[in-house]
Amino acid sequence: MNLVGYVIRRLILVIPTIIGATLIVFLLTRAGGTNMIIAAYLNPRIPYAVQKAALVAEFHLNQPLYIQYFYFMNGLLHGNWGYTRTGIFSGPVTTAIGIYFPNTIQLAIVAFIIAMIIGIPLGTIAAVRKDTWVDQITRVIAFIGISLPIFWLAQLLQTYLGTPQGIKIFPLQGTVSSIYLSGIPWINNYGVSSPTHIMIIDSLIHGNLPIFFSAVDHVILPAITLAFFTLAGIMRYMRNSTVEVLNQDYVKFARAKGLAEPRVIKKYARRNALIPVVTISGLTLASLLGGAVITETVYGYPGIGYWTVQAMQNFDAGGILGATLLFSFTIIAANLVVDIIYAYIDPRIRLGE
Amino acid sequence: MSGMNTILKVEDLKTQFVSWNGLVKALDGISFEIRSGECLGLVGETGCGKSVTALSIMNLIPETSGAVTGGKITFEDYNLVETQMAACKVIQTKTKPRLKVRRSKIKENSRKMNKIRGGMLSMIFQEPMTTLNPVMTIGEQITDVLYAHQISELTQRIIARKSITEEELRVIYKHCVEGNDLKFLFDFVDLNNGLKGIVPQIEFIINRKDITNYRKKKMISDLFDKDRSVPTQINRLKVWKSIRVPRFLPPLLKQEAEKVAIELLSKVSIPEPTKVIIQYPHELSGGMRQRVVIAIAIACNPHLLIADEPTTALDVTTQAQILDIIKDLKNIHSMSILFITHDLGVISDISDKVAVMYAGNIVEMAYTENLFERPKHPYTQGLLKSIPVYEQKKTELAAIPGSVPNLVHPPEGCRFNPRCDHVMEICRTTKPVMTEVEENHSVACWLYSKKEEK
Repeated sequence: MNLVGYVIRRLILVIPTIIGATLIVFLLTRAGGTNMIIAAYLNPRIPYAVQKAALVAEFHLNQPLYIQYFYFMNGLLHGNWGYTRTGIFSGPVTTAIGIYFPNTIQLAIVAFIIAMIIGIPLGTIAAVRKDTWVDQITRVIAFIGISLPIFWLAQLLQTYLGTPQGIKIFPLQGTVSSIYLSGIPWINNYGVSSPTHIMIIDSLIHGNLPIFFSAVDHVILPAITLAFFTLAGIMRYMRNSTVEVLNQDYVKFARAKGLAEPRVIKKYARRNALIPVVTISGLTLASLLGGAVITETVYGYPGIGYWTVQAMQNFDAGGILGATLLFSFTIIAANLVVDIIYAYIDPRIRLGE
Repeated sequence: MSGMNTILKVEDLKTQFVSWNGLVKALDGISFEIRSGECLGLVGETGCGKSVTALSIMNLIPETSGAVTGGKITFEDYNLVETQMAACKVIQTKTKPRLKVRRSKIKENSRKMNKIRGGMLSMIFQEPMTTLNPVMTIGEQITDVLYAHQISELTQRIIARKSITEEELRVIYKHCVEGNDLKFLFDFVDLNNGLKGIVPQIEFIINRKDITNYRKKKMISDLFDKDRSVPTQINRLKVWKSIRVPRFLPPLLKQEAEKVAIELLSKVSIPEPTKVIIQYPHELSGGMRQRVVIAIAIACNPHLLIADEPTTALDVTTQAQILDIIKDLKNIHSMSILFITHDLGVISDISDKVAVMYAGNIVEMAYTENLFERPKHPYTQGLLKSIPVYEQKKTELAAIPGSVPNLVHPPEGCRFNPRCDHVMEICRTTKPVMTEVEENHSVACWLYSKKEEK
């Protein structure tokens, strides 16, 4: 098919998007002024004026903007994303991303899988049984999920599932029980496991079941919190698009062919109904990967959102810049993946000339 | 004509829809019948219940919006409305009407209907652009209906064919070898003299002790793959009788279903059917799509084909081609057809009999010639007058004033009375019944029954 050609065309389109994204992030940081850029590099023991001249020269801040952008891009491409200095980590931004991003990936994917597994079938059932009690109940669940503030839901779950006040099943903080943070050869000082940096996978690779169960335990509460919110949107989207598809002529024609109802739903309705849902879920996954700031903060879960909050509180321009760039790249990548899945599901897209 | 048996009989069919404004009485007791091999045209303006009639027969009225509330539809030996009416009822509450749905009955009904729909009774929809599923290939959509109704026919086709294809041989060998059914393999080889030469080789491989079973299987299947002398003329019947057919069916069925699909596509004169079968609907033009829809509808040789405005969305030349296909179906395959349209030209071309519908009632029914030459009902006369004719292009085109009434509160008496030129006192109070005014020509209008009464 011309699916390959489509993917190549789509990949080429990514380049201008990345240039645009970096340009905006670059201009925003420059708008903050010189001091904000060099703040992370200042040494309090040396007079400010001496350092400033040296740093301005080092970062080419006296050059025109387009030259500065060139140096900025050059740094990005060579892995030099600047420095971050916050209470939880000081060092290169890339290292910080290496520490915190895998945790977010782990959380986002678990939350996303929970949301999809529950949301898609519930949405379909709600559409098939439109205006019956099933539909009403899922509607109420969706409204609760969307309107409940995340921090409150997080604290409710913590209180009733994490403390002796309710039933203490789940731990409250972190990615893994603190007893495992020292003395395990494949976990370093920052609590980062190797080789994949994702604790659940690494513990399985090393065959360490206690750490695996501990990591799963730690991810469940924040994942449920995020999933509940995500689930609500996906479920409603699925329900509405299925209702729409069920009214289409081709579904009526499928019934007129004498196909059994489950087959009509599964083969004729679902794939069409999924097309808009793919878009929304791809973007949802991207925003989950961008860091669930509130959830990660409430649960003290060391992910990218948690780190971003730390960077903001510390006026850490390097950290904010890094997080913003990472977030925009994630969104670009998610869009790309969504478009490719789209083309796979819907053959009409592949034509797009 | 009297020798022909009735294939579809609709008696006093009533269908109602529930809406915010109240009960929509979409069909108000219509009756007609179609005899085997006959084409009945159903004409009328938009919104007078033509499509609802078709959907009621197919049991496709969505249970969330409406239901058949009375009457009887007999298709061959089946009563099509019995379970449907039990499954979904309209009940009047104080404020507004409501639908009472019984899930178990709906399941029972669709299980019953699914045996009939698509098989003996099938339907072509109006919009070829939206009738085909955009994300499935044409082939998948055709084979789906074959799997639903024609498994036994497909099996018979596979068994009845004289020659065996090499692909099929490979499927059989794969099953035998992978399923470790070597006994069958020997039987199979025994039956086919052409294969005798490789029996010793197979026996030799089987008897070797130094290699694993996996390796043996691989070597045997290689033997078949390499052997180009495999005869393709084999007595299939003997072969099939000797084996338990169902085990080999799924892959063979798929091949066979695709072959049938290609035959169907060429039946509706689609060029290059082998190419079309792997295409998606959006790659075809409107006319081609409608042909595919027709191919799907006639896939299982239906006894009755309902065509709901099949040519309305097409341009005139395509329309003529589609009509030719439908005429062929009627003449060559003697299919009964219920042809729904608002286009009187099309009707005069294709149907034997015409029923004119107005606001949920049939107002006139006659043989096509009689109806066009001697229309009785004022509505039919109005319709015929509003056809543009070349010679009359200087004069203004006649039109029936007004439009189809709101069916929530239809006019009392004859539903056509507000628009009728010949309206009388009785028209406003009492509904006329169908009366036969000439042989095989009946009409529901007080203009004609009045004379008899007096």
